[in-house]
Amino acid sequence: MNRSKMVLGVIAAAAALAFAGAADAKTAEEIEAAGSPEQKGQAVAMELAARNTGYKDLGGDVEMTLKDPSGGEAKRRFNLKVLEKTDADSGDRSLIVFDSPADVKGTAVLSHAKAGDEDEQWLYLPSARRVKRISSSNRTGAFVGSEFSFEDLTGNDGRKYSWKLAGRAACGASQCLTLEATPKDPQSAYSKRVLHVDAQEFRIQSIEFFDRKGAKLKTLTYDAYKKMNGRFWRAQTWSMQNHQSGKSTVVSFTSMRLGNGYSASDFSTGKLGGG
Amino acid sequence: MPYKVSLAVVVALVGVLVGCAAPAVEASGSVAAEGRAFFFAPKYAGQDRGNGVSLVAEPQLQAKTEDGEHTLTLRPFYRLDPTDENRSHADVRQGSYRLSLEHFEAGAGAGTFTWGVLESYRPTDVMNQTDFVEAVDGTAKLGQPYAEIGWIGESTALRLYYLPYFRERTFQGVRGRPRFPSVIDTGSALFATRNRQWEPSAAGRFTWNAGDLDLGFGAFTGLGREPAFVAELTTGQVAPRYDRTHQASVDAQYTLGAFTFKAEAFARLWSDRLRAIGGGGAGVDYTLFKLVGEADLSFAAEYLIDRRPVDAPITFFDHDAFGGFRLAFNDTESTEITGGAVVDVYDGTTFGRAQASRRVGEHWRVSVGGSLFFGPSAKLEGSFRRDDYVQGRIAYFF
Repeated sequence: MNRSKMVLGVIAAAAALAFAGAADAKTAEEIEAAGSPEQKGQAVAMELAARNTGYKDLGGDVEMTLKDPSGGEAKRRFNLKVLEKTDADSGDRSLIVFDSPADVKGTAVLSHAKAGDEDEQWLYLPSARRVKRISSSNRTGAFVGSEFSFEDLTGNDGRKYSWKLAGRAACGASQCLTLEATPKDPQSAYSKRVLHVDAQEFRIQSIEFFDRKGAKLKTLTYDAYKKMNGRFWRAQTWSMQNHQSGKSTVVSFTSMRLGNGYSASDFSTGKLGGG
Repeated sequence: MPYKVSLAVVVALVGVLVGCAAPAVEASGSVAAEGRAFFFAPKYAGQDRGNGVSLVAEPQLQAKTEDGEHTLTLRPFYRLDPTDENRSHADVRQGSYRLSLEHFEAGAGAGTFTWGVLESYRPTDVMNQTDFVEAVDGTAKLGQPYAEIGWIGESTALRLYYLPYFRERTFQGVRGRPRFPSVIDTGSALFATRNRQWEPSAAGRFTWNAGDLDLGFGAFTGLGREPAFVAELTTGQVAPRYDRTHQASVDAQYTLGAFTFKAEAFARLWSDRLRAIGGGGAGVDYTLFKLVGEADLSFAAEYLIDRRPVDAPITFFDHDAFGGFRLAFNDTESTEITGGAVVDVYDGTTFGRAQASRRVGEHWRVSVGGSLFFGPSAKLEGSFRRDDYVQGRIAYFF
């Protein structure tokens, strides 16, 4: 095969894949038509993942507001970079670098999510010039005093849960699919997560977290959805309400961009301590 | 002065970068007031009681291009001490340019590099000189002039360093506290090398994150950072002497759930006679996550050993056990209480320390703590007996 034929072949294959991708997108009605609740739930989870595939990477600046029930507020600002998983066996990689509070400026948290294994996380402390590994046993712990745990931030890989479609309910002006996600990891802080996904665009509107005793612990609400790069819906505001403590945390993106051209080396442990 | 040279280089580079790419220059860092009070009267002639407030500034200016490829950092340090003229000192902790490409990095200037994994003391950490007047436990380091190239893989990194200039260890002045019984005459330092401080050293480090195992290998050749002490018969003072040192080291850390197992070791050839020195340590950390609410309690236990000839530089950590804890509240104020003690298992010499700290508002951090010393007076590390003190610190971060 000469070079031009090879190029043609590659283009044809790419076109076929792109077409197959488009044809693969299922509607909520198609999914609801057949199968057990578990099969339907799994199908919705796969649809969520499929619609999210191909964003390549995300970069943005985040303002996090920690609120306590008495009205006290504290702010954190950080930069977030996420690299989409490159193959089926891996997971997304993320790098958070703090800008404020001032005494932790430059502190970085690097996460490598794994599909079938425990996620790996490292902390870079600029004051000590040291990279420290974060124990995987710490995943249920609070992230910088917020209502988000490390698990909430990295545990969004659909493969970490068993799924079940529980039905439909109204959410705001639209209809939502109610989806139950049971974590496969016995170390998870949650007995289950209940997702409300709008039936039109498959955007997660909210997630309810139930603790190990089955009591409702937290609700995460996604707002200000923006369609990015023509395809990908991204919420610009995430609000986590803790029902048991009365505290809440609001994450607002002050900027967000997809497809920045990040490479795996931007998320390597070797670069973390080099700066 | 070498830090003035690196400062000039950085200022010039900042000018060039601002001129062509106009990256944002970010200011951060801290200024702090630190008060100390000693429990007992001083022991040595000329030594001051040591009670008082010193001021510390460690601001940082950093300019980075949009793509993150070029970074300029300037981080000077200054302490103004009310009593010890040697403790009032300035340094450039970092003053460097860094080029960071996908798999290649290069840098030059002055910088601080940390090797090793242990909490109590890192015997393999040899690139930077110890700023001993800043902290007698060896945790503070002086900025080291360097040029560096590095190759960065997914989970590996190899970095090679050329270190053109040697920094002398700082020591307390006659009024300083805590200090050794003799004042170290830093003005008359002896060097085994003809070029004295301008004797270049070289170092290399390879790191590898292999699953739950983090490995590091280090090599160093040049003028050793640890001084031996020589009595000057004419003046009655004690001068530091720096000898040639060649060292290879390894450090490893293995994470298993709430446990972290750590070890580091070095083999060293010291002086022109190539005398053998070996040492290292091993330990374990264990964390009780969410002990109460979101608070985590960690424990660390370590053991340090070191074998060296009697005329070699003295080490405090030759057969010492360490026990420590950290209580992190994981609250909005990042409240934290830490404490620990290193005990010489042969003679009971003990360095103990505890500290509590929390953030106040967005920009302030306050801490209170103290240090304790026990030990036989016949040994050098027993010099700090009855130098126990409490310390309070308030820092503003910007």
